[in-house]
Amino acid sequence: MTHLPGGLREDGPDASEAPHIGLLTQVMTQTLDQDYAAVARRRDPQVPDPSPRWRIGALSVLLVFGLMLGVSALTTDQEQPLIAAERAELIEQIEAGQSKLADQQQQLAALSDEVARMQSRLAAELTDDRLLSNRLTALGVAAGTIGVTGPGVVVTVDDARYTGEESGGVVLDTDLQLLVNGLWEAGAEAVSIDDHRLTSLTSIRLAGEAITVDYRSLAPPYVIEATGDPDTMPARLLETRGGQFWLDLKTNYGVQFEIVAKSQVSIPADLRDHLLYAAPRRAT
Amino acid sequence: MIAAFGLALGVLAGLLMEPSIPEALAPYLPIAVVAAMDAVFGGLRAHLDGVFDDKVFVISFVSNVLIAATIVYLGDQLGVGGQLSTGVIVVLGIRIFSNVAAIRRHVFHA
Amino acid sequence: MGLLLAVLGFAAVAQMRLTRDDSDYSGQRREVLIELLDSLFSAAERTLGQVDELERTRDELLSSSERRQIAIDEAESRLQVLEVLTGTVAATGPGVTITITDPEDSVAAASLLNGIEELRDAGAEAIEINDTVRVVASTFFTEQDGEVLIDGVAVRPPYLIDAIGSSHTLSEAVIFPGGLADEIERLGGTVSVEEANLVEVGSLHSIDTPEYSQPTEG
Repeated sequence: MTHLPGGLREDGPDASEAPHIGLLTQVMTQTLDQDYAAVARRRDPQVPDPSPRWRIGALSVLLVFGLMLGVSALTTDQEQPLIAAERAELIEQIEAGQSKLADQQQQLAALSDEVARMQSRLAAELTDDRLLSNRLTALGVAAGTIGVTGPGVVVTVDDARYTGEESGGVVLDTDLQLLVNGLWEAGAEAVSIDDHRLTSLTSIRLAGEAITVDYRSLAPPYVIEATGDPDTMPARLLETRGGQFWLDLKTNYGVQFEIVAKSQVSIPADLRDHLLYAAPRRAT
Repeated sequence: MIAAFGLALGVLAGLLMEPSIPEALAPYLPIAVVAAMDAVFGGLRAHLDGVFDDKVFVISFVSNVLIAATIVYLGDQLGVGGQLSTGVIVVLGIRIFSNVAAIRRHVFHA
Repeated sequence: MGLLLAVLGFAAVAQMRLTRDDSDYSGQRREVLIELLDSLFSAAERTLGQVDELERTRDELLSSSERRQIAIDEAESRLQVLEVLTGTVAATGPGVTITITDPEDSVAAASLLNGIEELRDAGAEAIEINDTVRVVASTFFTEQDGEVLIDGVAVRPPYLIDAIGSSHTLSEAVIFPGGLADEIERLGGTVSVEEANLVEVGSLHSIDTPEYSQPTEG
């Protein structure tokens, strides 16, 4: 392997090129069957053609050649229309294919236009949707149809332990109304009584013996929760008329009244968002 | 003269009789014709060179046709029929051209 | 010699012509034509695939657009209800107009608050007072220097309360024994209730962005 290249280099060119040149040259130069020359060399010029059988053979070969030529010409002649027909069909197919392709490409262009338009519209709509959704959330929070959590206060009130004969020791609907009024005044953002969200539709009423909120009867103690600033709300509540009133109730009648600031209160949603009578009237 | 007559007779017979050749042999007819042409022009040239021999002519004709057809047939079996027939035609074409050139030199002395 | 060259030149030009305007493929070989046809087929197939894909995309977009439209319609109607509930839009509907006179200046905020609760209890859906203050969930009643303030806005008698709801139920609630009418009359005022098919609640309440409350849904 390592010592071979020297020998190969010497032999290589001669061995690979000579046959090529030989073959091409042979094809180019020795065009005449060498047998003619060989036979001519062997033949005695004095002796006339020894075999008339070969003469007849040569003639028949020529006859066969003529026959082949004729048949070949005929076949090609017959095939010509076939080939032409095939070509015509091919060309027809190509043209049909091209017009079909052009149609498809046009369709494709139209479609991709449409899709692009729809997509950009969708993108714009998404922005609209987000705005709408934000507005729905903001209104839902304000209307009370969406639950909220956040810092706030928990106010617990209860009837006086010893009610005795004095009626002042029992918490009335108006008392709760004033308390809630005070909470709103103190900056509450959402208020619930015993987990009933107070909305613009919710009433605090006395029905029979019990206080009802949103038509559901409650029993003391009443737990009023409100979101808002936990630092300022308790003090502000006590400054309101409702707060003052409740401090009075506590002092004079032994009613329980307790305000606790919480870092987290949960106010549930009121799911009533269906109106029977009122319809919006927009400025036209 | 007789030779030319035989040739013309063959052409006429082929055209008039419209012999139908088997479907399987049809692809080899054109290549056989070209091979035959080589033999015929070779023979013509030999005749003009004065070395024509009937036996050699018959054998070269038959063997040319058979070998050409066989090569193409083999090529078809190997899947390179188109390329092989092109090669055969190139080689035969060169020979035909050379022979015709030699004939031309004999006839026109140019 | 010249003649031969002329013939050669003519033939060359003719062939070049033929090759150039080849739009009808007459000069093309069969193999070239077949190859062209093949490439046409595969191009058509590719295009068809793209068309299919785009059509699928379009259909998806269409259906999502339809679904969105349904959601939007729903949201819009919810929005209208919420706007009425939060007092951010004017509202109309059947209801009552209540007029409260207070010649003795004795009707206090608590009475009005109680009256509002009565109206809410009777199913009032939108309430305003004196055509200036919209009553919503967070509305509070206070007093300052003998004047009633609603949401911090001074309101003077006579008090005019517009409430939308079932007009009959609302008026019943007002004149119910022990109700608002009784209480006001006890304080020396008068109450008149007028049922109407169309009450307009035109004043608006503007909502502030909550600082402490986080929505738990939506």
